Amino acid sequence: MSDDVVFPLLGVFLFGVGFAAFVGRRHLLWKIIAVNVMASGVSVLLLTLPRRAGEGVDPVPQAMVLTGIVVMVAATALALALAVRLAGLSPGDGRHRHTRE
Amino acid sequence: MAFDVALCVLVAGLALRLLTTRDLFEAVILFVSFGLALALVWVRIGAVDVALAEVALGAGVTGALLVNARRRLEQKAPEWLEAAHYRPAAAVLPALCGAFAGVAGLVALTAPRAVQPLAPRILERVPDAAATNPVTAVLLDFRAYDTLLEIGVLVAGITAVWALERGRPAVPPAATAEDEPVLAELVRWIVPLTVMTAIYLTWLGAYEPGGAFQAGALLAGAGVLMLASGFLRPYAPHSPVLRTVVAAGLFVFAAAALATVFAEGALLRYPAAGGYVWVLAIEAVLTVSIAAILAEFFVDVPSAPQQASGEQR
Repeated sequence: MSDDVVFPLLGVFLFGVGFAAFVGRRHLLWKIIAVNVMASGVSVLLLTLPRRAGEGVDPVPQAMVLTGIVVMVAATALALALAVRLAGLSPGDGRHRHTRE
Repeated sequence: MAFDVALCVLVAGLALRLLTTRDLFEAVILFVSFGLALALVWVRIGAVDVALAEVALGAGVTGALLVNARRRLEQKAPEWLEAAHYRPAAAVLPALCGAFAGVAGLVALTAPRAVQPLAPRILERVPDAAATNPVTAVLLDFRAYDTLLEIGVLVAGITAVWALERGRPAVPPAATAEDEPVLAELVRWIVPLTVMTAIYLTWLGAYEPGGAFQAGALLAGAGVLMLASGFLRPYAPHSPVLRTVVAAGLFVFAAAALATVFAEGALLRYPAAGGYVWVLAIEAVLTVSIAAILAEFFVDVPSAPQQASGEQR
């Protein structure tokens, strides 16, 4: 296993567990964290997949991932504000209304 | 090689733990650790710009946002803190995700690598670009409209957060720094260093890894620290000063884009001679705006004594 195999596998793993947690966990804050982990997995794939071992990283995917990180911060901030607002409006237990655990 | 494998195991293990734990506080702290470990991955593959952004934004700002959200939940709806066990709705779900990840992994391993790599073509044109750091050249020259829209996303985000926070009680006046002498001394040391580093990172972005977004995140961190410790009085959300600073980055960038359309005939094609000055000026305004927007995401950071009394942990 060379290092141009290990990192893409990490990216796939992160996206997989992130997705499982996003769908499986009912707490809104964990859903938000899970989307962040999924985005990290996509970034790992974007940066490492087109790269051959020993070579540098393409500047174009680097710029895309940088943009992605910033957009994720803005999206996370908005999602957290919505979640906190929701907690104030309908004191529950942080889970979806329709599905009880 | 062994280090890479160990690093990947660490990142994967952190992700697994933070997504399955029941303790929200533990999840938040592990998320920050996850971001820091991921930054090491970026350094290992040579993406230093991304590593800086990951530390400052992915781990730093997002982590602080999560801590703040958790604190607000503690006040508003403490029952949200008693997290559920991780019990997937159906046992088939992890199996499905595993199968999906397996297929994706297979594709990742067998896909043809970089049929037409972009790197050589970019590097070939970087000497003519407005910045010699290839990533900055892509961000602010070759594909500058991406970055223009990116700052637009930030402005849209803060507008939405403001709208959600409308009608909240005014933030109480910040306490005097004398109540917390250790914190006050720490802030006196850290903030000037942070501001200096941010200026350096903005200027450095044209040649080396660095740039407006990383520097903006640093400045925002200094701002939040000063708000929390009472050195800075929070602006009212409707303060015209605050709104001008928040919007300045987008407006200056958009004005520059319009100017280049008239002067050079193409969107964000800088004049051949002064491209570097354009990029540096845009980056400087962007840094301040990004810092203001990121700091404003922490809408109701309490002043120090309040936090000390509200702290239960």
